[in-house]
Amino acid sequence: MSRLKTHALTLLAAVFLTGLWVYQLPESRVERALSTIFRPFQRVMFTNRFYRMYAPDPRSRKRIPTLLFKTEMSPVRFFNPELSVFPREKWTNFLDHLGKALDGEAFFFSPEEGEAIFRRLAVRLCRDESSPGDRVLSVTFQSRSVSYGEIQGDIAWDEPEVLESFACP
Amino acid sequence: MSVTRFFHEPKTDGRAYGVLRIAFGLTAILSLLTIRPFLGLFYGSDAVCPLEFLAEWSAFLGSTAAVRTVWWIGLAAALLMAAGVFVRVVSILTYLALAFFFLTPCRPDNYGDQILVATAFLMMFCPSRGRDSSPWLHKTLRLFAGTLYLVPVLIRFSGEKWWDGTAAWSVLADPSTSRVWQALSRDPWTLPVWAYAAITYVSMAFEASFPFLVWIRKLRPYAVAAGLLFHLGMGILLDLGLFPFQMAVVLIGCLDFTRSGSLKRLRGP
Repeated sequence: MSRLKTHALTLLAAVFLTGLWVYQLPESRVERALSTIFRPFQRVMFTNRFYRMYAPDPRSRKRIPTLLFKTEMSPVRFFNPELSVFPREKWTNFLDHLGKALDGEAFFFSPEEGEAIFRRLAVRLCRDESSPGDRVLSVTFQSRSVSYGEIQGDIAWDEPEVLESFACP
Repeated sequence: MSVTRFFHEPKTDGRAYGVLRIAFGLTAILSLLTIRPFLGLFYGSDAVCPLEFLAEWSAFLGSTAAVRTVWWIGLAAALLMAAGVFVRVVSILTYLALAFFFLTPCRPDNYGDQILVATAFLMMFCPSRGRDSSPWLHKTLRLFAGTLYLVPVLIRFSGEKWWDGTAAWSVLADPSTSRVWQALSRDPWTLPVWAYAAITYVSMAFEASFPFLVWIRKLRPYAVAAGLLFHLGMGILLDLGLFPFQMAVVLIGCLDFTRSGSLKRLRGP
């Protein structure tokens, strides 16, 4: 390997790892200054979007989101797309992030973005899930809070809460 | 320079990179197959969260047809990567395809998806399979994996549930990710209290020690094997998508066969 290539790869590894470590630093003036320098590299190397606080959620309380319809034939129909195990996890992640936004918690989407995404999703579901004689009338995004914090205690579910609803045109 | 020597010495048998490339290629294929049902829903101009900046830039690039084209190119590139054909070109295409889908505003991704795209970036510079390859990528991946394990451990030091050993309950009883929460809901005493404490402390011990053990050559295969078992267990008990596979790629990348190491011993003098 040529000397130039060796040094270039050393630099690449150093920038990749420094970008990764800078993102892990607690908020401070140093972190802000370093982030400004490394941001372009972090974006290309994808070291800028790690879940810094990744660890089982200490809140021990989650909201489980559900999409449901009202159609001409049935007052309540749950929307559960038929997906195999790995795609199902992607759908669950999407619903979870959307649910957080609709609940007013800025996570991946702002509440405004969440509302816009829900509207587009609802329009699509109104169209795709309707069948002759059984038109979809409305789409509702519902969230149900569950707590399971106490060791070997009950896993307790609250009443579902409607976060957003859309009447099909 | 000592930093350069650290990353590039001692020379390693490049076949370990071949194993890494196959593992990465197969995981990239799985990752692309996983998003296939959502190509029209999450990506493209008709999607629920369209890539508006792309559509503004070029009507074709933002279209669903373009999304499908990128997906097929990415899949073909990942296949060729696993097969070891045109490695340099297809590694760039694989990175671009994974990055394209990772950047969707819909964010159906998890922690592992980001790990895979970051690894895809490094894989574009993966050394070839020569007998005297630089170990820089193995070492970078060891530091990468070490960071992925060590940072959460440092954060957990302030978490009461990790100290009292009940964090495993919080994970296994969580209906959003656990595969066994219904069994625990029916009978919370399925496992004794000490079992949750054991799972919690063993997980913490593994994650805290891996970043150091992986640098000891004789212990490295055991540290990596422990990591693979750790993520296999996680994958069985928790619905984390491809995260266990994506971590397995990084762990496999930590292993090298130094010229005086295990491969030479296996082959004989």
